[in-house]
Amino acid sequence: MRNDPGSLTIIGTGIRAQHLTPEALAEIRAADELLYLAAEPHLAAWLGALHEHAASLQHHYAAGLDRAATYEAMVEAVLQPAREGRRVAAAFYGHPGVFVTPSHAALARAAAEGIPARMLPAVSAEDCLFADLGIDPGRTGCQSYDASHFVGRRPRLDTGAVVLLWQISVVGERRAVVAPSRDGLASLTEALLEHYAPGHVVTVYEASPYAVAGPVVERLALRDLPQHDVSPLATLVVPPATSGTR
Amino acid sequence: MKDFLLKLEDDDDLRRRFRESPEEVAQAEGLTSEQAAALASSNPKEIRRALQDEAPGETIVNIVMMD
Repeated sequence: MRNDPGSLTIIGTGIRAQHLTPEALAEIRAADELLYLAAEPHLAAWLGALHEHAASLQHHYAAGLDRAATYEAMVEAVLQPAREGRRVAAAFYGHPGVFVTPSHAALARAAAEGIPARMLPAVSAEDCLFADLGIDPGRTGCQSYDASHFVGRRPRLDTGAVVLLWQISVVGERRAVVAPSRDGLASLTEALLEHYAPGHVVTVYEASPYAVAGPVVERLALRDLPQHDVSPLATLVVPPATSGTR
Repeated sequence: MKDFLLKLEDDDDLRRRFRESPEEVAQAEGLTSEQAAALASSNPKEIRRALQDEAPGETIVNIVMMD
């Protein structure tokens, strides 16, 4: 173990490789170790090639395993080398502070242990959504919830605002899963039908992780959501309710 | 297919040529006609299905990072 303290920098890769910021790339190059979690195999390969001492965190996932156990393993994986005096860059896809439990947990634990740690901003799926769908959240206002949180807590909705619901494929699911939860989609639809008409047109969206592909943009009536082929990283965009939709 | 996607991320000229003639360029890089068609669709769902067919074990399970 070295006497000088190590450090931890949490970075985000963005959704596509070209989203990686110069600031994040410089941090990767300066690090002793790069630990990363990518959402796609080709991006994992790309990240793995960026640093001589790079290792994926993907193996901590296993279908059926409670996510809390997975996150705890990731937190310890990124902190242990820093405890041993190394400069660690931990890369998560998208923005590392948005819908990423282990990044915040690692920063908190690092602070408690006196390990210098910080987070750099990055391009999130929400940033891509605003660009791809031409939505300006300042126009009507915007409410944004994890879909499981929305179904379980039923926060007050402003139906005059855009509503974004994240992680709609795993509503109510605490384990890593391999297929969308149909029961979860039905619960989400039921909760939304308390506020919107069955024919209200919603958008299932996914930012493209591929340099040569566009985003997933699928418009459908709210009533049809439970049967829809939802991809694992899909987001639901609910536009403001307008006259004639109810 | 994964390797070709990786090249597309880094190679501006390849990306330009792919956009002009997607299926021709993809097949010239050794992809099957099905993989080339998936890429040419410009649809992430189609591309992901083709990747799953190529390497099922490498498919991301379902990354969810929020409690």
